[in-house]
Amino acid sequence: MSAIPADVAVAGAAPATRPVAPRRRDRRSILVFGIPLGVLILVSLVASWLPLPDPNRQMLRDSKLPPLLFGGSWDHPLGTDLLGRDMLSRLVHGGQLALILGIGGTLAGLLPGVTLGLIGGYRRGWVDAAISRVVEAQLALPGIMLAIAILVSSGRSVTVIIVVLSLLSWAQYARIVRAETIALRDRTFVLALRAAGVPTRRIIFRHLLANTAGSISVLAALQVGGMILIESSLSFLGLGVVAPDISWGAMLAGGRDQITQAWWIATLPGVAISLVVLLTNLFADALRRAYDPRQRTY
Amino acid sequence: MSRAAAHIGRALATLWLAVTAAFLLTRVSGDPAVRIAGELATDDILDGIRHQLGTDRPLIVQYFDYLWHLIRFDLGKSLTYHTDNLELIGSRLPASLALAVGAMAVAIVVGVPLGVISAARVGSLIDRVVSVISLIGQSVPLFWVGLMAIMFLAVRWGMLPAGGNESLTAYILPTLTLATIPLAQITRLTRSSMGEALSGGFISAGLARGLSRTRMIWNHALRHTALPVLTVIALQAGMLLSGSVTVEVVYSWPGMGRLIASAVELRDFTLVQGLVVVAALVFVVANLAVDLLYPVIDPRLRRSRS
Repeated sequence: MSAIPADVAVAGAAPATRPVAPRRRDRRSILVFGIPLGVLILVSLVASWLPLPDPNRQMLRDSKLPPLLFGGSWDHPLGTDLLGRDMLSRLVHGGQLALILGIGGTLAGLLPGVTLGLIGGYRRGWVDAAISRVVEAQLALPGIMLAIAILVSSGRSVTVIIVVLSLLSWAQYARIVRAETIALRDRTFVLALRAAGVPTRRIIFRHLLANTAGSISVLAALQVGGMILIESSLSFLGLGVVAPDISWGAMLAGGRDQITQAWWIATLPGVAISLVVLLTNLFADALRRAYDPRQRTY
Repeated sequence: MSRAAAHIGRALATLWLAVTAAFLLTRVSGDPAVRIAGELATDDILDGIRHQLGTDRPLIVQYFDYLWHLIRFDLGKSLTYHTDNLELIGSRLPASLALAVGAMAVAIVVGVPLGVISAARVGSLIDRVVSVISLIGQSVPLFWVGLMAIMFLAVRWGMLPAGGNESLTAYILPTLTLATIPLAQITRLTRSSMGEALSGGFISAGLARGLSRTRMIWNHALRHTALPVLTVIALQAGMLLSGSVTVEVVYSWPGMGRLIASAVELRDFTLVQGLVVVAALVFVVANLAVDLLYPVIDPRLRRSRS
């Protein structure tokens, strides 16, 4: 963590800035956004044990029933889709996939990205130059198009999608971790460790990693939402998981043609995606404010 | 001059890596012949398709062949449209660029002032409203925003056309939808770099000399936000082309995004590859332009490098 205390930063601050917001407020907002997020995760985890109808059971007689508040019944509180499947149950089960891909995709990109960033930043020289070029090339490839290119030529499964998501995200970790490592590598504590004969691997993966953990966790939290958005775009384009797996993006795409007769089929999955991504982004923002002193005055 | 050459060299290296990645990812991840002919095709048919595509040759030969064609601006022939890929992409590119440029213009014109105002009044009501709205803008799926806009503005209230690009009013919805993400990013970035600029010593000095705060903000501090904002604009320029895929599909916009969506449906590999290459090229050129513009905008960079 940066060693500049908050009040020092304020002493030199612009006349426009107000006194630093108390840290307690940041801690509270972590809870305010973290608890609903936790509840949503829990609900989607135990979805199979909840008293909900089978999300894939079709009942053509019940096709396009409206939600409860718009003339529907308690049997299907959020209505049904074109094939008469229960919207609420599908949304809850779809949350599982969003969770798996959001967290799985984030971790799959985090591990290689952080490792390369640490090594490049600490070693410098040609290793760093090579890693940096690859990072730039990765950032130069348009994400969605790259994902499309891979998913068209290989099969579509959860594993492949996680690999695609990791390809789209690793470079950002590498870039940020590298920058932080470069700033850290000449600090006294690293010199002291080196002088004490601590092996390079241990310096990198224990001490430098610990010192960049704050930024990594903030970036990771921000990435979860991005992963969910990318997955929903891919599903919307027909490149996501295949049935019986349920994806919010695919539900939305399925409701697109029904939008004039049954608006809820496309609207509700969009609300679900937006809500979850917004909550994770707010949560990440709260994390950033609480753990990144440089950001605290803004 | 040597600095410009170094930038161009790096841009070329990046482009080469990107192009190579596009080649490897589309070749290594599966046999196109199987995808085209289906699982039940006989070996004879598969061999025929492979021979036609040239994928029966060693990978390294294919790679150099691909590079050699790229250098001559040859992106191959589309498997489904049976025309030159470059021509095909070229005919769709203007519609996508118009959309991207329009969205970027909206994002800059709205985002920069919003960011400045929130940075000037940190913690005020307007600051909070702006930051919540920009956070929402980054959290909603674009194609969903598009669908909702079509449902309400086009279908229910009949105010705007729902798709196509025949009339000028047809530009409004797609442009605004696509502007959502760069708008949110530009606002947030302007706010944070403006905050940094406002804490600089030159602001206190200016105020001490009796210059008005408004003038210090809009005239002096704003210049300092130009570099980071320009960088994010260049980054977003590339993203816009790929971000527009879903937006173009939703609004039936005749651009590159819809072309790639149909190429995906038809399993047109050469076209997908060509589109990825063109998008990477646009991105690299946009970033190179910004890199070369830095010293023009910021005199400090001119002096320190020479």
